[in-house]
Amino acid sequence: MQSTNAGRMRGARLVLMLILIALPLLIQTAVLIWGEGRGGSFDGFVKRIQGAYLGFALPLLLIFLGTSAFGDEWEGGTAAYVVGLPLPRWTLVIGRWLVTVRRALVFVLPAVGLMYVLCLIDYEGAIGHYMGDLLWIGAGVCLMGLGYGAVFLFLGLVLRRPVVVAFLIYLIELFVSYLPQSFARTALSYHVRNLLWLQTGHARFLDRGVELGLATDPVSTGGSIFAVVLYVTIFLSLATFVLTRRECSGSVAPPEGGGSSG
Amino acid sequence: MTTVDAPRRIPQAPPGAQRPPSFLTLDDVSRWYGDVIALNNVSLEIGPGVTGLLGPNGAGKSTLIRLVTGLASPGTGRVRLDGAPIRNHLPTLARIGHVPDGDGLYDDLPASRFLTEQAYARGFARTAAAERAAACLERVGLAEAAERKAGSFSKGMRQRLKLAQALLHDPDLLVLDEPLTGLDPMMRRSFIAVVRQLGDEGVTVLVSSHVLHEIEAMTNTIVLLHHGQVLAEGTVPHIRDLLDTYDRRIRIATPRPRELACELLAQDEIVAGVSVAEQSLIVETQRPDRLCAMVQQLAADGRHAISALEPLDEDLDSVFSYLVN
Repeated sequence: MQSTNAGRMRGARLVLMLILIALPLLIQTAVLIWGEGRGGSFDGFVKRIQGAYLGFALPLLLIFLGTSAFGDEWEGGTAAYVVGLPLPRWTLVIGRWLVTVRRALVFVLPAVGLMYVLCLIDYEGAIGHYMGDLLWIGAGVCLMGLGYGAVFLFLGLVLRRPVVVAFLIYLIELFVSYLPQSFARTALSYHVRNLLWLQTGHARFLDRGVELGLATDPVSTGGSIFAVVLYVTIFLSLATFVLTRRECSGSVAPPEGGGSSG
Repeated sequence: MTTVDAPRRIPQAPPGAQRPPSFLTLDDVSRWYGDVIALNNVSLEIGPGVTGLLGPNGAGKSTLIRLVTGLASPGTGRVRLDGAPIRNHLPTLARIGHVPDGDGLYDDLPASRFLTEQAYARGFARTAAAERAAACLERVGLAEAAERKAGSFSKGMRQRLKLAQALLHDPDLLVLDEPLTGLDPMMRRSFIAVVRQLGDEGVTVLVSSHVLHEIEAMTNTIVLLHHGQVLAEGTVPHIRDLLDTYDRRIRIATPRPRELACELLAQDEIVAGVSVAEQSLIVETQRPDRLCAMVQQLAADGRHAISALEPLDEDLDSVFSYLVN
């Protein structure tokens, strides 16, 4: 039964998501207990957030959740119940996008907070001292979630096997975001890192172009926020366009170029 | 007609109001999938009551269903409900209920939750949506399973849940795609009763099936599709009347079939052939009206005792065989 398979897939994804989120926390806990203070600092916190959550867990979560936001409906034969509703397509897209991002953030934001505590608990007053930076990092996580959520939701609508392609696209985007000069400015993750660098001043978020002395004019905070909003607007508009045009077979994926079922 | 709470956005007729008749029209509709033509220049008008959409697998039924529910676009031509377009036209979509084929349901959701969410998305307020969901579950006989997850339902229960979902918003046009597939005889009977009742209430109901007796149990009005074209439409007897190139078979029950056969065979302009059985004979004719008149006259004259006179090939099976072959 297709929808049961979809249910099993959802279960497997949930387990994977929990592992992705919990693993860095478990490692940090182990370091805290047996590591004699190693890794415990705001710098260590930023390193783990950048490497484990912003750079890996959050995009991966959004690849799974975003591509399945509509993809599961076609896979499970329930698309007719969604696209048959008398609702504007843009409301369907925005609703699914917000649910997707919320699901990811429900996992990631508490993990970021817990990691913050685990990294700074040994330092008296540090938890309160860096609270402002933590809030900016939380905002950056949310922005990245909104941006990637829109991109992967769109890919889930246009691709038949979207997870692998979405992952490749993410890797390319990540690579581009670390390129010097203005190439990086086309990447979503660049703007989130740039925002965090501008607000926290932490070198780990530094623009590589600035770091190498190649970019003389870094993007402003407003510019980076605008870029993320632009990303979201473009990909949600594209998703709405595709959903408006996409046809539904009712039970299985629409025929690929031919054939009718009855 | 059951009318529950006013919805948030969708206007609804007051209780007891007469349902205005709805007409589904297809004008010169064609649809291709690559090089394959699924529907070829189909023109139809389907009015209130139950209409059966009949045809073998690959006839174009599912494509036609997708077009009339707005899930697909015609390649050429127009599909309209009361003159209004359907696909991506929200006011029209709000008037259509659809029981899709296949087995897709949200297996992790309890039946009542699925219906409540659907009703809410269709414009009912939260409380009204829950009440509407309960009413529809009651109507299809699933009230006791309301809190069970759809994943634990039998095939028949899943079909009934899909019907309940289609009835939530009291649709003017109800489209059912192979709705009886997988139902046991008891469930089939109750499902058919619900469909017939909806037809009697004035809902325009379109039911597709490739099983003749299923359609016959629901309606006498049919559209026959074959190779993407409408082969015939109307009532079964009406379609049979169109087949005047074929001999009609009429069974006459009489205690002296051989004597009656001799008399009938003398009327060679009416009778094409006779086969005699015990206590009855089967007459082949292209003039059934004149044959019936003649037999009735023989009975009235007291020359033969006639206990039954019945056409044998006005059932859908025979009609379909004639048309397709």
